[in-house]
Amino acid sequence: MALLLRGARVAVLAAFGVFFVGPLLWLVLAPTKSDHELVSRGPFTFGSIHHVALAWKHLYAFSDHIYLTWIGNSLLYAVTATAIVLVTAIPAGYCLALGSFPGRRLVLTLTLVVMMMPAAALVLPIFLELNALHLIGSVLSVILPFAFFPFGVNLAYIYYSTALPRELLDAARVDGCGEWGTFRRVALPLAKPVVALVLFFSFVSDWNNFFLPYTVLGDSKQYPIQVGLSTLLSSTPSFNPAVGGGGQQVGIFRPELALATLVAVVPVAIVFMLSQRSLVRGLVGGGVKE
Amino acid sequence: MKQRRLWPAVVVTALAFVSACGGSSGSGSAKDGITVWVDAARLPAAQAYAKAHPDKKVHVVTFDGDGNGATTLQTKIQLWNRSGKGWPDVIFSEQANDPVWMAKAPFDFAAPLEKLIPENVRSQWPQTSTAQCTVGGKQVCLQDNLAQVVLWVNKKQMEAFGYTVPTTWQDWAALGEKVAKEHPGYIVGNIGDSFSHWIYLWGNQCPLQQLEGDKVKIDPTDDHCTRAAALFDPLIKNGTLPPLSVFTPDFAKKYGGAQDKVLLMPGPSWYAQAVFDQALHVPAGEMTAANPLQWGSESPVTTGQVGGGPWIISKHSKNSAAAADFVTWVTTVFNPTGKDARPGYPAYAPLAEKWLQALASNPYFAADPTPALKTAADQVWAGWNLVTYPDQPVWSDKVVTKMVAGDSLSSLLPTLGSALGDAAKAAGYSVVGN
Repeated sequence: MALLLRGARVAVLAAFGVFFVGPLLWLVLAPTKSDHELVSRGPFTFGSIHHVALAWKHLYAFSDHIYLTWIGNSLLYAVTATAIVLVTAIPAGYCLALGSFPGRRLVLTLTLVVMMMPAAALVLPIFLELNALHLIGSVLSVILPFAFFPFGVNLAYIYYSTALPRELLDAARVDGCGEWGTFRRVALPLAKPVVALVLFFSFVSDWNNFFLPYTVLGDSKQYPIQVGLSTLLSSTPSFNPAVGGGGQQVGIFRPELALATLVAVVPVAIVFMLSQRSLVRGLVGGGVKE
Repeated sequence: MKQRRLWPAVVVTALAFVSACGGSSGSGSAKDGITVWVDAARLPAAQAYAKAHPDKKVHVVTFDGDGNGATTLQTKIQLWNRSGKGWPDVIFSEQANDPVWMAKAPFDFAAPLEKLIPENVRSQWPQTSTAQCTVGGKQVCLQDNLAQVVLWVNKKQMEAFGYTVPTTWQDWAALGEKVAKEHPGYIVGNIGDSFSHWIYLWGNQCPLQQLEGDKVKIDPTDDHCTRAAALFDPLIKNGTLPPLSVFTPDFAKKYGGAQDKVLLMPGPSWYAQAVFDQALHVPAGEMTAANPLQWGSESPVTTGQVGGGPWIISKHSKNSAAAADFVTWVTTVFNPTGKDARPGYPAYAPLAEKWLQALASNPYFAADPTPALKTAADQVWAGWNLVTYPDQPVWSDKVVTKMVAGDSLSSLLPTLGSALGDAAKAAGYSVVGN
C-alpha cells in the first residue's frame, strides 16, 4: 500500500513536472532547429548549434540591429526606474512602519489600494498626465511611471514593522544618531533582504511591462524588449499571415522568435541569481519570532 | 561602509540617466522632414528612399504593421488625436481596410490624395485597387501591392498523377472528388484561414460586404453564396479542402515538405513565397500559377483578393508634399532585383511589368506564373468592399471552428451573415439583405 501511494505520488509529481517543464524545454530547443525542422522533427529533439548561430544572425540583422537597442532600452528603463524605487520605497516603508505622523494610516491604505489596481487601468490617465507635461515620446514617460512602485513600499513596511527590533534603533539613538543616521547606519544595512526583494520585483515588473511603453512611446528605436517582441511576432508569417511574401526577406521565423524570447529572459535571470540569497532570506524574514 | 558609498552613486547615476535621456525625440511631423511608419517588410523601401534622397530628412519607425487583427493604429491614432501631436506623415498598413476607418471620424487621419499625387500617376493603379482606396468618393491611399487570387498548381505532382489543370470551379471540384478516391491525403485547396472567405466567397461574388452608399449589403442567401458553399461542402467532407490554416505546424507536417501533398490551391499572389516556399517548404521546380477559376461558363471571370497593403498620408502632415513624394517613390520607383526583389505584385502597373519580367525567370517555379498573375490583376471582383469593421475574426469564429467540428459551410452561412450584420451595425452601418 505504501509502495502504491509512493508510486502515485511520483507519478503525479512527474506529470506536473512534464506539464510545466515541457514547454520550457521546447523553447530552449527551438532555436537549434530550422523553421522546417521545427514542424517536421520531434518537438524535443536537438538540432544543431549552427541553427542557433543562423537564428542569431537573422535576429541581429532585423531592422538594422534594433533587437540590441530594445534590450538596451529595457535595461535603461528598468535599471533607472528600479534605482528610483529603491531610493524612495525603502525609506517610505521605514517611515510608515516606525514613524508616527498625521495621515499615516491613510497613506498605508492608499498604498494597498493602488497596489491592487491593475497597471493597465492607470495607463490612460497616466498618458493624459504625461501629455500635459509634454513628456510623451520621451524616456521619462516610461521611467517616471515605472518608478511608482507601491508594492515596494508595502514590502519595506512589512519588513520594518515585523522583522526589525525597535531596541536596535533605540540603541542607535542613544548613541547619538539622528533619525536619518539611524535609518542610514542601522535600519538600511539590516534591510538588505528587503532591498533585494524590492529590487528584484521592481526590475521584473519594469522589464515585463508592455502596455505603458506601447502606449507612450512613438519610436521603434525607443521600444523596450517586450514591445519589440510583439513587433517580431507580427513579422513572423506563422503568426501574422498579413506580412505576406515580405516575411521571407525579413527573416524572422519561429526559431528566431524563440531565440529572441530566450535572450530577453537572460537579464531577469541574472538579476534573480544576484539577489537569490537575499530574496530567500527576505521572503522568510519575520516569519518566525524567537 | 560599502553601503554608504553605494547609495549616492545610485542616485547620481539615476539622475544622470534621466536628465541625459529626458529630451529624447519622439515621432511625429517635423517641418524639416517626414516621419514614416512601416512594417519590417517595408523597411528596405523606406531606407532606400532615404538613401536615394540624402537631402531629405526621413525618420523611419517600424511597427507591427497592424496586420492580423492588431489594433495598433486605432490605438495610436486616437492617442495622437487626443494629444494633438505625434502623427507620422506616412503610414504603411498590412490591413487593406485600414484606410476606410482612417478616413472617417473619430480617427480622421487619412488625407485625400487628389491634390497631393497627380492624376496621371494615380491612374496607373488598376481600377479595382483604386476603388478599395476610395472612401466617400475620395481616394485616401495607394496600394503597395496587389494580392489577387490565382490557382496555384503543383505542376510536378499533377503531371505525375496524369491530371489536367482545371479552369472552372466545377472541374476543380470534380478533380477534388477524384483525388479523394485515387490519392487520399492529397488536397486541392484549404479553407481554414482567417481570410479563406476572401478567396472562396469573394471570387465567387457572394455579397457579404457590398457597400451601397452608407448601407452594407450582407446576403448569405444569395445564390452566389449558396451554390459555392454547396460545391465546397463535399470536398471539405472528403478531406481535399481541409478547414485548416496553411500557417499551422500541423498543416505543414501533413501536406508540406517531404509529404508534398498540395496539388492545387486557390490563393493570393504572395502565396508563392510565403506559403509554398517558406511555410510548406515545397521544393523548387514544382509550383506554378494558373488563371483564376471560372464559375461554369459565366463571364466575366472574377477573383478574390487577400492583402494589398495601403500607403496612407496623414492629413496632419506639415510636409505633405514630401510625404507624397515618398509614397510616390516607394510605389512607382522602388524595385530591387534578386533576393531583395519586392515580395508582392506591385500595384502600380508600369512597375508590375518590370517585376513580372524578373519573376518569369525565377527558378523556384516549374513554369512561368506571370501570365496568370497578370490576368488575375484585373479580375478582382469589385462587389466586395472594404469596411471599417474586421470581418476575418467573424469568419474564423463562426465558420472555421464549426467546420473543423464537422458542420457544413452551407449550414453556417446564415450564422455568418447574422454575425457580420451585428458587426456592421456595431460599426454604424445600416445593413440590408440580412
